[in-house]
Amino acid sequence: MRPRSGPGRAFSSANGARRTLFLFGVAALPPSHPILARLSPRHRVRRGSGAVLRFNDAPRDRTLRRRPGAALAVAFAGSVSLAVATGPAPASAAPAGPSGGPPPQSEELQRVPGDHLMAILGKDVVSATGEKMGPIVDVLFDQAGKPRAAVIDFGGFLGVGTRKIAIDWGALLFDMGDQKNVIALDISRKQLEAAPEYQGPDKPVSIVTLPRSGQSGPPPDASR
Amino acid sequence: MNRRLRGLDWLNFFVANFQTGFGPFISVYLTGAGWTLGAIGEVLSAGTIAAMASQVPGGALVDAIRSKRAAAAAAIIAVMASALCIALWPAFLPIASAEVLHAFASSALGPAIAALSLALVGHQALGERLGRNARYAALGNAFAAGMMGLFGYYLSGHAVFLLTGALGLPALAALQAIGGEPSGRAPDAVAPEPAPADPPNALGGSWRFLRDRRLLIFCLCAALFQLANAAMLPIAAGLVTERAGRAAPLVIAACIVGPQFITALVSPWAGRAAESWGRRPVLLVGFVVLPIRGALLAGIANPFLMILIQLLDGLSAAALGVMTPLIVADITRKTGHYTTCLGLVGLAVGGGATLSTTAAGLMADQFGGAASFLSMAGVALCATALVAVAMPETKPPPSPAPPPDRAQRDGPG
Repeated sequence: MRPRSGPGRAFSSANGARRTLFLFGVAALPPSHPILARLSPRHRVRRGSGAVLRFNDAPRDRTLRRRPGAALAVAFAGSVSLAVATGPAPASAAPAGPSGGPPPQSEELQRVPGDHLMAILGKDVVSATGEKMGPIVDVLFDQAGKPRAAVIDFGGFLGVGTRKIAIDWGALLFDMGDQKNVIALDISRKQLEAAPEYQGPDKPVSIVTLPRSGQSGPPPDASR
Repeated sequence: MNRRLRGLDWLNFFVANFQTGFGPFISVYLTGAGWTLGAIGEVLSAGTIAAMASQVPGGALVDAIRSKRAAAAAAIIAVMASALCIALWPAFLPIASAEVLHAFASSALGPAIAALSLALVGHQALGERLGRNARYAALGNAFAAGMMGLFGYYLSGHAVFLLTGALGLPALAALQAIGGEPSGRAPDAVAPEPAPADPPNALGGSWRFLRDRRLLIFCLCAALFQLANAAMLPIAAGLVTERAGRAAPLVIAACIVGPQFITALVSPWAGRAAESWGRRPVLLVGFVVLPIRGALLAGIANPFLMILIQLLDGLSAAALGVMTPLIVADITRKTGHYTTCLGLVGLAVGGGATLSTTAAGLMADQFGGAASFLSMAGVALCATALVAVAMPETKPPPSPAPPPDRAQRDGPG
């Protein structure tokens, strides 16, 4: 069985990501942005102080995290297309209530064993033969808030000559047993070599998919 | 005497050695530490901006400090500190600060070594000495790239930066071996133009060199050269990753290390040739090779042949590596502003290189590798033409007594 990460799943990430979102996410989102109307009133009030985006402030931001759309907008605003949450955060929070509804008065906390979760940024993806293909440097989400592709930094020597390649999320296999967190890839090295380079979220993205699906890339806007 | 010069050799070796760690490898390291692309980009931009901003002030600082050895020691210690900080504390603010500190330290370190060399051997033997400097620096680069490849592969990025920090110690030892202040040496070698002994920074006549046409033309040539040169290796390496399959990392390693050996071989010759034929011909050779390299890279797709083409880079690097400090020394003779002026050229070089990776990267994304190589070759051709047409010879006219076409042992004209 392939553990798939859904929108409710939390990733933990290095603080670099948090900071980027914090620094640029707040400033880049105009107060009239429609996504803000979907946040709870409490959050809207705090927005001016930047509190909405304090991801390391786990309990208060749960609402934001549980709304993949909101997290996504924030992530795009910060030019980091990755929904980030931190720490031992709830992994499978229930879908949030109707938009704009009052948040629950008593915040719930879920405790998840550390080996049920995996931080994936910077983790090497290995091929079926165990060969290192490169680290995951970004995750692309679709409009439904589902991870659509992982961007890996493929090849190169000492950082010279690496190519960023977007690969289909479904082609990744996560093995979290016995502390050996491994991300394996169903796609051959040849296919990665031939793939066009990922050029950032502003350009159409070609996602390398499993060979049996019969296509080499989805419609360009799928990952936006 | 011999011990001092040997010390200078090793200083160049170890400094090149530990500077290599701050190249593209830092993004590999930060990626492994779970950093996002955005955060890595910000940190690297901070470093680039700091490097540009500090070139001229760094050079001016070295001019102002009497003891070039102390300046070099302080810069080495600062670089060690930033390497350790990167290794031990991979959070945003520490890394950004380390990058900025490293940029400032480097802007003083290079000029300080050039000034030390000048003070040790004087203007007459400077060409030969700079050739030796470039040889040892190239060997240091090659050695470091090999070591870091092994360390990074078998251990971790962490280990690479600890190693980088540790390499500062032998650099300091080499600096120690150079011995007491060179300006206090036997007067015959240094007396004609000891940089610090000149009228101290009287803001008047000694700054006239800033309006020197030779300096401006040389800055322009160097900037155009880097505009054409800096992006060639990264783009070629990207193509190798695409084409060479499993062998790609080794091919790229060869593309990085191979030219360093050519530079090590050729540099001393470049220094001697500059003393006997003049600076212009040597400079011209270094420039002419660049458009040829660009055209060959555009035309040849085989990744293994790319290694051979990249060897040409060694020739250019030798010519520019030796001629830059030499020409600047010619221009700033007896002004006491040698390293300020080196900083100015450094700014031009850095600007060209930064623009190069951006512009050529965009070209490569839009129109493919061949088109971007061809456009770089075009820029290189312009740079070469500029050297051929506008760059004057800076070698001072020989003093009347000795034959004009030999390296001279006594005072300049």
